[in-house]
Amino acid sequence: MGWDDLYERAAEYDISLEAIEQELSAHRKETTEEERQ
Amino acid sequence: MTAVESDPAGVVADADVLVADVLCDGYARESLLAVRSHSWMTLFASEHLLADAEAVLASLTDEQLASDWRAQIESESERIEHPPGDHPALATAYRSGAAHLLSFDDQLTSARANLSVKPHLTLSVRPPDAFARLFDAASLYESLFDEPYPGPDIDVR
Repeated sequence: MGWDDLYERAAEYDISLEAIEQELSAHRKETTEEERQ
Repeated sequence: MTAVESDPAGVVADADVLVADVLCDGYARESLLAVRSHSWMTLFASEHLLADAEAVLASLTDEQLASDWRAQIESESERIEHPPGDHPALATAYRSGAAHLLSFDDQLTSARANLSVKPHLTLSVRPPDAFARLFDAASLYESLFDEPYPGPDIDVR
């Protein structure tokens, strides 16, 4: 395993930067709420 | 907490940049390849930062890819600890002394954010396209080691 392998497997997915930002924002919001409780 | 000494060859990539490196062939990958291809540069990351990136990667792709990425990035980065409530990328940058923080987050890369962190540390917060355009490995190497830049010394593939 190495970066080439990871990049090759990741290329099977068509993910935009906007999707990454939305997912990270949702994840961090969820994490913050869990930490508050 | 005592501020650490600034590390001009230290880099922190926020979780969005770490994930974009894997999923989008663009400036995020170009920036992190520049870091990984030089043994004298250090990519810093906290457990929280890597956990964020791994969770996003697993959600957008699959658990195995996310897990394999985590193993790879852990072997190529230096771990920094910070409290759970802190912003993972900013806290990692502050506690490591890294001079560069890469993020797509407008709130982090805005001039206002840069001003607000500067009293505490010498940190340049930039999106990957700006880092890729402005980062000069040769100039940084020569300023740090006072000898000619030998070029990339790690085969990152």
